[in-house]
Amino acid sequence: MIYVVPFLAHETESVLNVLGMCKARGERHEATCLLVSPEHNAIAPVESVAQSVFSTVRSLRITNLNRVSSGQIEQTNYIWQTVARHIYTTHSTEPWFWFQFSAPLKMDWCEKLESAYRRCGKQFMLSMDSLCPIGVYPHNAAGQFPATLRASGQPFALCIGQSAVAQLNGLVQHEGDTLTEKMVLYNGNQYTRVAREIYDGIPVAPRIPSLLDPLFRHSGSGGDIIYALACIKAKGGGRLTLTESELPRTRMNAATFRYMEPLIKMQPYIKELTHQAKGPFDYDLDDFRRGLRNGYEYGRTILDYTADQCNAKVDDKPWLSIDVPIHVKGKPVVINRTLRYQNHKFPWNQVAEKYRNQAVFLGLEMEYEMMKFQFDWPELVWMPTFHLLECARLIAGSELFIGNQSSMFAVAEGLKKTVIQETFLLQPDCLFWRDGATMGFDEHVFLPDL
Amino acid sequence: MKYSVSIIAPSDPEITRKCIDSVLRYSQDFELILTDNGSTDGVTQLFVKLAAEHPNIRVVRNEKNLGFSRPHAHALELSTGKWFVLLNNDAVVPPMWLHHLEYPLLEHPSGVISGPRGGCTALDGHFQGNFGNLDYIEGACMMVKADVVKKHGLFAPHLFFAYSEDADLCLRMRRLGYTLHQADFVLEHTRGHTSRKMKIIPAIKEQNHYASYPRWQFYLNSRRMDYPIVVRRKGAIGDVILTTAVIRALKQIHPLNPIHVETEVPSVFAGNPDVVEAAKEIRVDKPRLVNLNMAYENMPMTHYLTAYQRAAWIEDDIEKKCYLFPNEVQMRVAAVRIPDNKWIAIHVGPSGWKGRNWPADRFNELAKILMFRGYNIVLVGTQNCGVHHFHQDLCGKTGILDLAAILSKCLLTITIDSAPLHIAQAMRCPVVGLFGVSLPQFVITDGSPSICLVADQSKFDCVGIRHRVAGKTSFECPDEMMATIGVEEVLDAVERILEPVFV
Repeated sequence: MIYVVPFLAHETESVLNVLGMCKARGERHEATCLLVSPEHNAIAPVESVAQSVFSTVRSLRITNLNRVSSGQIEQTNYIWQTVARHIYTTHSTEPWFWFQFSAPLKMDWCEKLESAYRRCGKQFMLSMDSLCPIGVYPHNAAGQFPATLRASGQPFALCIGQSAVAQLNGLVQHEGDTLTEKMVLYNGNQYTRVAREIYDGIPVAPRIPSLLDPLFRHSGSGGDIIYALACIKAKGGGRLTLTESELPRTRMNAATFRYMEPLIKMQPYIKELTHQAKGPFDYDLDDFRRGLRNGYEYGRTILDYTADQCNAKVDDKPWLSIDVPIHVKGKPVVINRTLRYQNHKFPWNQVAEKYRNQAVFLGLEMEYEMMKFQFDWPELVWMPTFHLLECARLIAGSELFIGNQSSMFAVAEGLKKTVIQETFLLQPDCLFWRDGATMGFDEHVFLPDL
Repeated sequence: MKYSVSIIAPSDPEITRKCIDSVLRYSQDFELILTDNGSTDGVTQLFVKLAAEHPNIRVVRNEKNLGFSRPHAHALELSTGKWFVLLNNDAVVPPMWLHHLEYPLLEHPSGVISGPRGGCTALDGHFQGNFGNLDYIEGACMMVKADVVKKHGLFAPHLFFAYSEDADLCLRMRRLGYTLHQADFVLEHTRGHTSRKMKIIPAIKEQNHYASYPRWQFYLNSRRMDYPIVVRRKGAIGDVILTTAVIRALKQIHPLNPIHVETEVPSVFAGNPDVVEAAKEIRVDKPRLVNLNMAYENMPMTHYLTAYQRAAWIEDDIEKKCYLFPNEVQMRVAAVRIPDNKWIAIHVGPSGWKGRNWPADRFNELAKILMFRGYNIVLVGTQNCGVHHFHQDLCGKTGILDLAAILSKCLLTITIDSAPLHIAQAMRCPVVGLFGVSLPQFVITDGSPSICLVADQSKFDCVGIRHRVAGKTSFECPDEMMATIGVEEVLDAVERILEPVFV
């Protein structure tokens, strides 16, 4: 397999980081790496690192890029087509893997990818994981691709909706990183697992944790941890370990950790994230729960309690950052409703009426089915997600988040999005009184036009 | 009709037919309300046929399956019987079943729900039905006293479609002091016949479980309905007086539970029939804590009593009226101090909060004019801040209930936003309120007529309570702001309350 690594000048550092990590781990792959960039000067330093990782390294300089277009999508498409033509004309019969090295890779990523490709038995194997043309293509993709499209309408093992196929004329990128509603996101199919096996989904942000960095401990639940991130940021950052605890409401098992990990690691103030690290801890962020036994103060937020716990002064700025917001075309509203923390007075029927064709649902399939059933909302589109970072991307790309007191609401609050909360009357511990945040205690909730 | 039997059928005409046949065979003096719950397999035809044959059968047709709660609640509305019976369509009843169900309810005056022997009778710690002592009656076959459940509601609105609603009903009735009873027969019941056909059922069960569990968690842990309730509110006198409205509502919902109040001003609760004890520190065994501390402070732009109500886990709106109970001696003393009916009380302050005090010279001018108009003026509060025109100066001379007795005899109280405002409203004395940093719509109760004047905040560099952010308490404004309220405005308000004919 040929590993095609395209990058623009400003992406050189991240490619170097990813390859540097592979090199540091002593990886050596008997494969060809094709470095593709419009900047000759950028290729040289990457080439030297890549030579340590791949047995063969070649480079392809894309010329006339700026003359083609100044738009990133058009430029990417142009690069893709150039690469496809180049591989086709070099008479190589090997499939090639287009991978924008913007995230760290797992140790055995090459083997897993090749094995998955062999197993799938198809010419094309794509994952939409980062909205880039990441995927394995046959050597003759440049010539075959449009014909295949016309022949079957579904050349990919991964099903892509018709509207997306129509946009694939230029082949790979779609408008402004905008997903269309019928496009199936990478969850729940075999190639998702492949993508996950090789790709951590975490941006490269070289941070060297120090023992001098304070060590924070938390045991969940998910939303509580997101609120705690605001406190960690206010304290100047540090290391975080997520552990199991004897306290109620904590379910920090390995699956939960994996679910939280990508989003937490993306935060620049988290120097290190570990699971089940041993103490001593500088800040045990669970401690506030012990205080709650003496009486929960109605309306006080989890964030307030946590901030008190570690004496943090949290400002009203966003405390979460993500790599790429995902806009779902025609769906500016993100809905999330867990089966807990509900308020029967909240006007979900009006929400369904108002945003009938404008909303996507984030959460478990069971929650989605319940939402559709309870509020007669068959038009609601479910966006399955792997981990909280994917949710955060979709929330960040939305215009309005409506949900109950779940971890996704915490994410929306952490991003300071426009939110409407279905407030759980018995324990309203996520009240954030700010512009753009509506706390829905009853049926009197203003639903904005979008 | 004596009995109203409600049967819902989303499908399965054959099974439903068996059920209805048994009811028709073994029941007398009854009406049968059949709900066709969006069926597509012949139930509709069955019901139409039965309705044509039996004049005591009424049929309700739903276009889709609305579950268990709503159709039965609708049937209850339609029902005319003294006893309302819910019956699953996959059950077959034995002879004399209605008499068996009715018997224990006649025998026990407090009895309100009965059901057959067997089946789930106990709730486990996870709010699941189980076998054991009688905790609840299953909704598969349940007789209820129609007038009682019509008054208190059949099923809770927070429970959707089906499941947990029967347990919730039983617990609500028990909380009100009613009792449950088992009838002396066993029901033939194909458990879960209908629910097995719907994929969404596990999600509904889980959702309803999550809705029910926190509401009954305290009972499930303690297994007693008469656990003590401790209401905690440490704040200022006015804040504590406001809790009396919530305590009244709590008592109505929990008539079996003794209510204790932990407060720094226990005298507010002297004579209050809803409260068994008020003290600075309460020590009772395993109480349910209702913590009202900081409840409204954490809820900006919300009426204080709404915030209290929510913090007390009362889901329906409560009556916004406070209560004080001065004793007979206090009332007699008040009658001696202000013997006729021409008295107006003026509370001149001071308040501990900046931005609430109206200037003393304004009070002086106001009192002078009112005295000229023939009213008697009594000054109340902790200290006289320089008002010279009055008939009685009781500043610093009254306790809370002494003052309550005084205000109960006044025509009107003119006051800043401070404790006497709430005392006056608790005693149903009309109020003219002078507001600065706070907003009256979140403070004033429905206890008495009131007109509130609000200072013009716009001219001052001040973020008042009206813009308060939870957790941030630095919202003081200068007292000068209150001077934007003129004496003429106050006099106008007084006239509007006391002489409405001239308005």
